[in-house]
Amino acid sequence: MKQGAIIVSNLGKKYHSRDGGRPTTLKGFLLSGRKRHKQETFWGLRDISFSVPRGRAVGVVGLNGAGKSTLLRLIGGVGKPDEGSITVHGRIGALLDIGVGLTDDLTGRENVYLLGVITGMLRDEIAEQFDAIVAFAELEDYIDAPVRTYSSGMRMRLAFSVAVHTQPEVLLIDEVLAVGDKAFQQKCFDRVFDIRESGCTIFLVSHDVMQIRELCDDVLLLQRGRMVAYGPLEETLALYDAAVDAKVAATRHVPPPGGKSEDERLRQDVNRYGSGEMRIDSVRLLNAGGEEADMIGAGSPLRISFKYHGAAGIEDPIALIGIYAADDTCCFETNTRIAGVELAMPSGEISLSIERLDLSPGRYHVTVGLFSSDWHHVYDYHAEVYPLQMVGPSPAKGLLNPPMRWRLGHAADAALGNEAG
Amino acid sequence: MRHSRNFLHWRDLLLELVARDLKVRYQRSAIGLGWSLMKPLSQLLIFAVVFSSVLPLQIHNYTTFVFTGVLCWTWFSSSLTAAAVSVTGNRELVRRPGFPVHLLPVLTIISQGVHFMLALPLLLICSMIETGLPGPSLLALPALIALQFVLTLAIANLVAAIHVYFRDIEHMIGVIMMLGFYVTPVFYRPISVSHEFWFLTALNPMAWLLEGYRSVFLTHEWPDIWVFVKVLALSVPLLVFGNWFFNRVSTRFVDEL
Repeated sequence: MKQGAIIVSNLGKKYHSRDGGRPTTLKGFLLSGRKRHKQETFWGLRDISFSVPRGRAVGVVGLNGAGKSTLLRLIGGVGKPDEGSITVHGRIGALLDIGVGLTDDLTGRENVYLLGVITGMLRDEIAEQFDAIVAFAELEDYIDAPVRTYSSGMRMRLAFSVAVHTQPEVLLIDEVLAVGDKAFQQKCFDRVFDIRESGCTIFLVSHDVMQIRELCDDVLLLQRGRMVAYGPLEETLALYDAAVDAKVAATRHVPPPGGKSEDERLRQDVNRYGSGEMRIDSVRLLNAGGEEADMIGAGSPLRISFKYHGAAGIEDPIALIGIYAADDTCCFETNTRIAGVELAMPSGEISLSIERLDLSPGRYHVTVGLFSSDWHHVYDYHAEVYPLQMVGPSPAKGLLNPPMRWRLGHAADAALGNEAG
Repeated sequence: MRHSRNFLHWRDLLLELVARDLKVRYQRSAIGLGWSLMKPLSQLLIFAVVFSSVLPLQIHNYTTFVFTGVLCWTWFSSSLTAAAVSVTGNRELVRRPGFPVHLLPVLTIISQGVHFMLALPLLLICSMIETGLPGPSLLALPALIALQFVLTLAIANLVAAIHVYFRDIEHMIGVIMMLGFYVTPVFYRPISVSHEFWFLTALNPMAWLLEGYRSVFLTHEWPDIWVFVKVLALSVPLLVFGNWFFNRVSTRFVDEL
């Protein structure tokens, strides 16, 4: 059922803390007396599962030390996960550590070939692209001069130009779209945009939210090595902003109202996020008969409802409801802004009725959330908390399971509309 | 399809990286690659003078004899010395997605092999002057070179991988290579089986290889088939183990560098 250019499941990467580790010199080895040091280990990344469909651009955000670059390198095949697996379909290109790997004493021309083969091209391919690479770097006049005579901007331009001419199917980018002067930066950005338009899958790590907004379809939010959210741009960026705000202000969250009938499945900052200025509770999944159910037949109606409690001063919040597959693929998500529905304040109940849910059998989770009217703040967000099991006849592959019928004979014999029923 | 592309890519990588090594080392010097011949030639000069006139060893065609020894030993020892730091010294390559790390030890052996190959014509000329025109046994030379390559690679993989975790191996290799030079019959006759130190020659794979090279350059005979059997019997299992070990630990390199 899993499809995509990048599939990561249950990924975990363990690190040994620096001291107390294995001695790396003979002296250390002898002094350690062959005693087994108890090594301090921690998980740099854990429980990361997601899949990126072909041609999609995903931005990775998170505070420093969240494990973004580690994730990027693991996807690039550098190092090996301690848990779980990573599958990448297609040729990987990488824009990271731009500029290292240039050899000072060689000419620009020789460096183009050297960098080209290091990034995975064949010499023939480099020869074909050579003029384009040099033209893009705007270094036609200096290409036969040694790189040691280049300015740092020229070096970056050369390295970047080689890297974007590798014709990758999956492109990994780590914070490098800030190369050279403004004009060249724009050129780089346009180039990455073109690569994206050509159907390349993009995985971009950046602190620059503007860049992510312009380039990405989806956003993946990491926090201390855990995947907090993976979903559409605006809503996930709002979660990120919430994380940044929390970090900046270092303020305490509004304490969860203990004592009340709080759902034990919810845990703050694990699958529940937000400022707590508004809160969601009593999330219910209702079947055709209006009874609470976590299992429904494929093609049956489903109603999702929840209660919300707000505070004074909050205006026009947005409620969001989504259904996610077991591998975190978003099957469906909508919000009140799209429908033009305004929530009654300060508190109330809202429900979304889906006339028929044509998903293939399997396990899904429901996400609900409340956002500020400009999407910049997340009040309460329950990420894939509520399980939903679909049962019924299954298609061979895929998530979509519409009503259908095979028919022999000429297709035009029956109008499509008459087929229903 | 994918595999053949991989091999093409490896070939191109080796070409470019070896070229880089050589260019960087010699580009800005007056006699360039000529320097790579200086060390073995000066060694040759000393040995030829000392052991044919000062302390005569009574070895026939001593210049060719010691030249063969010095050249082959230099390739072997300089490859291993360079292989020790081949992974640790190329951090930026190891951290690059898609870079085939297992090529790094291969690269150092080929790089050093270029120097060996450049000196080989000189050895041939020397051999022709002392012993006359080479016979058909010269055809065995590529096989001997391949054999030495396999033996060196088998050890180089282990050394390169261990160095990531255990930096002392670099200095240990230096000492071992220095001792090995004297223990191996590079500039003296192989130790006979009746001598109490017989094992230094009989159990030394580089001594086996030198025996093969010398039969080509000195007596123009085909190398003993046992040279091949013994060296392969040692290096193939070692290579398999070395590769397995290297690949096993290479996934952790990036965390350790």
